[in-house]
Amino acid sequence: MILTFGAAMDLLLSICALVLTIGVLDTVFRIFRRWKGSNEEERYGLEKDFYLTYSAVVIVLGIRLFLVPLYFWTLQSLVPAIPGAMCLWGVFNALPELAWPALFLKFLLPVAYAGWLLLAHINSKCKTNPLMRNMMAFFLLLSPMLIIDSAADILIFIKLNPIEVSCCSNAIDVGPRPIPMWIGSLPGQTLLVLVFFVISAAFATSLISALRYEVFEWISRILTLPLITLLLLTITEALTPWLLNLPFHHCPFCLLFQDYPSLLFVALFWFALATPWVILITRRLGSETNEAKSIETRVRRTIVTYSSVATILAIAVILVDLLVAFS
Amino acid sequence: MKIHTLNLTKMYLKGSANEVAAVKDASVKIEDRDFFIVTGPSGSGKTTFLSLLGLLTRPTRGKIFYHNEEASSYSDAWQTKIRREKVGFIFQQYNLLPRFSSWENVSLPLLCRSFSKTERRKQATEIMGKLGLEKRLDFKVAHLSGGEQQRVAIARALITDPEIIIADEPTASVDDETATSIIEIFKTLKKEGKTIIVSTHDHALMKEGTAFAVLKNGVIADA
Repeated sequence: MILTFGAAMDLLLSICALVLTIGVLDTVFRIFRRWKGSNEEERYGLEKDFYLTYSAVVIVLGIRLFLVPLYFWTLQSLVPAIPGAMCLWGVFNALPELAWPALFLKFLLPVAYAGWLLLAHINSKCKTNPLMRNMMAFFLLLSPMLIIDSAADILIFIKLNPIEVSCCSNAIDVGPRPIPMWIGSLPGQTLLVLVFFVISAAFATSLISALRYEVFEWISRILTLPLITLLLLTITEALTPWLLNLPFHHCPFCLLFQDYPSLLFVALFWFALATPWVILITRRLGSETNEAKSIETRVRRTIVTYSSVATILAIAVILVDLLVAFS
Repeated sequence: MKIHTLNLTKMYLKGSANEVAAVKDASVKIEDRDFFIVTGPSGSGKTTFLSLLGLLTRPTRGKIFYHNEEASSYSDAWQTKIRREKVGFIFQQYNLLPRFSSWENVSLPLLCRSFSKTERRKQATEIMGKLGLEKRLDFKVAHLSGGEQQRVAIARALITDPEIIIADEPTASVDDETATSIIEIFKTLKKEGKTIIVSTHDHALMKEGTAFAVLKNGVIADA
């Protein structure tokens, strides 16, 4: 265990989140089971239970969302403590069996967390708690993931030791890479970046169109899949060598923590890519009554608008970053 | 229609041997500007009925409508919003905070509306002046007479200028002279066009009524 302020914070907050998640499960299940057939008087009792549970769940999800940046910042701050590590890649390899799977959770689970929080927001704007049962059901589905997410953080920070690791250059830059050779050439890199910008522009257009036509929500969702792959490829194969001025270096973590505009670019892009999936949750679970449906539509439109702006901003940020780098 | 109820029932200790039906299948219609009197013997369910009408308690069965919307099915947060914005309550036992001054008690509902202290004091002074309490602004309520305390409670109910005023036996705990002054206040409110719901045994107050409900053992015997 390497104890730093960040590690202690992450540990403490993860323990809180874990305990609260387990602590509210019983009440959540009770509300879920009894809500449908209850009369006004019973609902009032369940509603009273819900307020405390709701606060706890909001705290848990708030902690989990807050821990996403804190987790990366803390692990990055541990780089000097781990012999051989030059960036997050090295830190992850000090505990690969936990750190790499946890990395995926950090990107995927906030989508569901944001979905729950939006459902709670829509429900609070309605007069009759129409989403109560859906929220409880969704939380019950989420709870194993929440427990795994918190437990993973706890285990990572407890088990992480200053063992000697290989740096990213040894792992990513040498040996047979599963990337076609032509992408590594300048025309290949340029083509990759151009394709990425074109698909990103199509994604932004599709998001804007989704404000009027539902079919574009699905097109946006479908586009997220090639975009994620393209984003990873563009970062590792073009942006990292170009922006770090290291033609044969491909580590995304080096780029993100040495070139802060690219960190902003990735954060904005992640928000944009998450949006079509978050609104899938609100659309499916947040339209129980006409009142809820109209609030959900308003909320969805707001998020989609922000998301479209985020995509355009992300492209602008990285374009300016590239222009500055090449000037 | 301001408020109407449909088969309103409130049971206490439901399912136990001591189960009590405080209100049974009560259906009433209260129009705008009505002075609605609820009367009946002690223990007939008047206070419970008023609490149900004011959304202070939930019915076991039945529905309460505010402006034809089913307010009884609203969440606690929304019912609180209705109470805060539309209803002023006057309780038989005043329910004042004894350690606070009169004006602080009167201005309590304004705290939820984020008024500044200066504005709260200004509004409290104005309403207390109308009720003849201008010299009692800074008195702790514990130092006031019963009649003055009831007028402070009325001022608190009126400070937000609610559409509906619900009063539970407002003259029951005061002497005849104070009761007369309280009835005068209700007469003024009636002239102002407020919808007033009062439970009372006071014949002088009953004379002001425009609609009536007589409760016996939780059942509306006459409306």
